[in-house]
Amino acid sequence: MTVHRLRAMGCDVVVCGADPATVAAVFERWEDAFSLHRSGSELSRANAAPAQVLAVSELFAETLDIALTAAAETGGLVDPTFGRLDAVRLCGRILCRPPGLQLDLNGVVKALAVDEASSEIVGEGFVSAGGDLAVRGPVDVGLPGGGAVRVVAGGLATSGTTTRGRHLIDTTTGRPCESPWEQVTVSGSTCLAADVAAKAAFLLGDDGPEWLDDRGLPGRFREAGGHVVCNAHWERSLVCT
Amino acid sequence: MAGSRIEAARARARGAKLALGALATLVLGAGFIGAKSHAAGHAKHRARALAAPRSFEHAVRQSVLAGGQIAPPVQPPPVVTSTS
Repeated sequence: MTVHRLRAMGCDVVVCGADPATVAAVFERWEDAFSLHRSGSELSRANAAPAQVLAVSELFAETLDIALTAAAETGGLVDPTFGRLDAVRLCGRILCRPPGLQLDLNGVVKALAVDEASSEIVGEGFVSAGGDLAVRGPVDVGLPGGGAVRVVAGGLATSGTTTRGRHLIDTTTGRPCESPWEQVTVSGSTCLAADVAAKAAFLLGDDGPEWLDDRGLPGRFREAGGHVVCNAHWERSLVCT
Repeated sequence: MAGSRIEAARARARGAKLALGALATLVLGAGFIGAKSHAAGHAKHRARALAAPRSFEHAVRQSVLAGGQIAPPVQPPPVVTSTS
């Protein structure tokens, strides 16, 4: 299998089984709509708009809807509004929110881009971007800090502090989260599921493994010293790596 | 004699008027209450949003959080994930 590498969304993207130009175009579309580093992105323009009610694109509305659903399912842990969920209303493509409320969809955008890019895979292969991965057919994947796992279907995501520092925000304090974990890896039915769950489990700290087990999600937790803890669903799937 | 007959007739007429008035009031009141509780144009309960109940939405919408499938590795991995 030929492996292609490219840069997108500020990270290395590895593609196998799909046309790299097509995958690059998928990532560019998502970045063009949601990058907070581009003043012309739809998200940047929406955040800067003084109006209370905005008409947004279909992609924007669908993505925000997914982000709000993720916030609800994680009890507000992975929240695009940073604790102001009640202030945001979305009705079709009409967004209503107080002017000045800054939305951040980074919690779901990269994973959604990986999921969409993986739909371009012909036969078996994978798309990996940073800590997010989606597969078509079984793929053996090396884990950060050592060890490996075979991803049979769906996605695998790792959240933590090793690459981007303490970037995950505790919405209850508005500050970077203090977590006993350095990295949390989760297997999900999609890359989005894995990524949202990995972020939530990281933010939950010691309660992370049980929270994942309650939802049937396999999770692997790595402490700063290198000690690895796996939840029951991960251990049932394989001998802890 | 004739005077007492006229008085009796007037009394019957007053009674009939009262009975007719009471009957008309009763019919009007019953019609009003019936219209209030059955007519489609009258609000009987607090207005609710025209949307499916949240419990229904929750049941229909697939959860964002669903587990994937993993297994022990069988060969050297072609890809190593980092951290996002």
